Amino acid sequence: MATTQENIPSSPSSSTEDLKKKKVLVVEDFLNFRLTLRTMLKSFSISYIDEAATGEEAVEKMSSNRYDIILCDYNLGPGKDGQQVLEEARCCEYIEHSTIFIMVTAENTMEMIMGALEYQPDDYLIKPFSKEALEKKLKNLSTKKESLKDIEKAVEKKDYASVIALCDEQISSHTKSLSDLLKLKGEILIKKQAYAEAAAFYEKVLGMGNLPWAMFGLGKVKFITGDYNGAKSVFEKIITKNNKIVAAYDWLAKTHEKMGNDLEAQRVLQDAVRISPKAILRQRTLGNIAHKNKDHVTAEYSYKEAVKQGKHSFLKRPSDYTCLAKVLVDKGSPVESLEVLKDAGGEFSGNPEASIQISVAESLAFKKLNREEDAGKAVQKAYKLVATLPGRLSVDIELELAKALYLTGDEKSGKEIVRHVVQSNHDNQELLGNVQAIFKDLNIEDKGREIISTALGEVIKLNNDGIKLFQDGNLGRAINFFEQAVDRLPDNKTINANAAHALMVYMQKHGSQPRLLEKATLYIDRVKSIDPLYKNLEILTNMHKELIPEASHHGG
Amino acid sequence: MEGKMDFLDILASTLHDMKNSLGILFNTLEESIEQCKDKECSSYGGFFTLQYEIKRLNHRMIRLLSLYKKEKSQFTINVDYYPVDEIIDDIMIQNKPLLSSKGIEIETDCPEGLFWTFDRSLVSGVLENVLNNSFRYTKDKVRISADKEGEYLSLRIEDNGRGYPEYMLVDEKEELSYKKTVDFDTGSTGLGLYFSMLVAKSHTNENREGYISILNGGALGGGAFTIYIP
Repeated sequence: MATTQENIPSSPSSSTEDLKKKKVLVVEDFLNFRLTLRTMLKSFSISYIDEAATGEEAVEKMSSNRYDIILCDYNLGPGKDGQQVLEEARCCEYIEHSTIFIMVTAENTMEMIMGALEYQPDDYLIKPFSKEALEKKLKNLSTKKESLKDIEKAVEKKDYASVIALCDEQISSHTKSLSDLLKLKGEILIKKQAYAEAAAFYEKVLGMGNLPWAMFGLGKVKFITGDYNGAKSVFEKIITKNNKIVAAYDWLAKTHEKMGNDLEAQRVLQDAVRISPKAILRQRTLGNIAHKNKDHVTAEYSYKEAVKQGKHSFLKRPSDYTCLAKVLVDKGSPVESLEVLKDAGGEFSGNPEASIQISVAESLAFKKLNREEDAGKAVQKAYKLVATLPGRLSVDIELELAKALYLTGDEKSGKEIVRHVVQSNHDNQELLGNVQAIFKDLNIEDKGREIISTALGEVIKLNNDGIKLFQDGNLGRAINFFEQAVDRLPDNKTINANAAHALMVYMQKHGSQPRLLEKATLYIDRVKSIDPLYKNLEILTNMHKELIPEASHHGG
Repeated sequence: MEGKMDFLDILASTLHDMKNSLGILFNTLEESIEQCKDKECSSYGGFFTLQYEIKRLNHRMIRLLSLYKKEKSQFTINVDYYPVDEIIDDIMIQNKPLLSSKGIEIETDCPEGLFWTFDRSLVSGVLENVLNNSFRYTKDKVRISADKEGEYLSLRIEDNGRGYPEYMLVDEKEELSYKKTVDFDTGSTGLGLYFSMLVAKSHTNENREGYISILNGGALGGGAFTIYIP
């Protein structure tokens, strides 16, 4: 431990000296108050003070400059609000963990605080506040950030074992940052997939008081480990205690969906949207579930909100337009649907993935208008674009395209896509269910079932054949076999995992080889990106770690 | 906009607006106080009366907004686990300049390493309100203290003034109906008390509820206000 000591000042005291060199951004639409803040900051000898009058300007400045402190008003007029600024800055990593972000509000805006369980500012300041209060807050936060510096470095390196050790060390030492450390420890335990430990930890924290974030963490653990009944009762309890915690609604809806209660999920999301309408992700999810429930009115409204709110946001997605377009087709307004798609074309010009989605949606509208020829052309345009993409499309878009191909009579291309999707995700029951649902929509349920089972049979046989070679001790042949399988199905996590496993067992016997190790690394990375929660991932990464020559734990 | 607007909503949005103006007023005054500090300006003392009244107005507005939320069933608390001494320090820093201007001394007392689960802004609001009253009623001393008492956190503000009038005293855990204590002549509407009770009661832990007590005597011989949080 403590290998980076040379960089850290021995006493983390916070004098005005510490504040003096800080770079500050003031985000406030009210000129008068901007000046007031500037005067206050100057009186702490801070000389680097930048200003932004709107959320857009703030994000723009954060993306090109590095600030130590951001004082951001919540209410910024018509564009982005303070919370959106924070979310975007964190999401796009315009600000670092060490950046102090303070939300300034006109009052105790509970709604805002409650909506923000996942993206929280470091602190809130309620207007009016005195110069002394601001100075003290800045000093306290600087000291706190300083004390968390090592931990945050470890978080950034994803060195979770060290994070936990450092957290425990500080938790036991009467620190002012206790609450932050406890929150962080819980989050890291989840990231580490130490679910039993995480659950026990949250239960223990809850013994100290009814902390919403601890209940929330517990609910998440139950959800991830598949205890949906347990998760449901935790999220419901959070809401009973405080009906403003919107994140709990989001997770409760997710839980209902997993349990197959789509109507209940929609109801919960509608409640959440009523409390906090300004949330693209939530509107989008509500649109999806309402569409699934064939509630076209709600779906149309939610997607329209998502489109509208997306105009100023980095969360803008082509799917908000295309989903809206599809609802409009289903509800019998294909002309309006085409208008929406025309807008989308303008918003996302030069984005081939968006063009594919837009063309697919267009084909559905044309189809509704009985313009068969236009519909066919639109789908083929999308299909041709797929080949020009550098990577693979997302599974959802692939399936939409396949469905449109079937609808416009190109069954051959449609089937090819479906087969690929099934074979790349053969152990994902939820996805296989979605594929079957598409065939049901197309009224070719039996044919669909056969296509799916044939595709599944092939991939299962492929995997089993490889495993058999491996178990029979034909390690060399097993490796060859799996390498070929991986080339054919690079998006299948099981095949990737088995290929990596065979390679690593071989190296355990015959010593590490750079070329083989490189391959194993590639396969494991793929598994990680396809499914970060893959059950055997930890075993694989541990094996991998031991194969790295001269495993060194270098520090600073 | 369609339909008739609810008067309560109009009231609330007006309050927000007024609070913004008040904020500017407060900060502008702070700057003036700062500038006049060394110049032996004759209105220097008057500034603090202004500051006291602005703070008083601000507390009233926060209280009204909270009561509005209560009326609309939107009142909720937002708890986290806080170091208690930090909260007390914050309150002291916010109020010290005003109290010192009248020669009032503040002392604080809080065990180190004491953490508790509560809504920081609501509880601070209650304490600041009481502290603001001390400016008017104490002789020359105020004491803010915190401690763990049984299963509760107690946060107490005591002074060495003449104490609270008899009708305002609240014994521990005793339920009161505040409506009858509204006194329009003195301007004391009992709402402050009601707000404090509301904040205390909103804090629950297992089967325990928070409460307040208002007594005379205490460590400094004057009034003693305590909020207990389970």
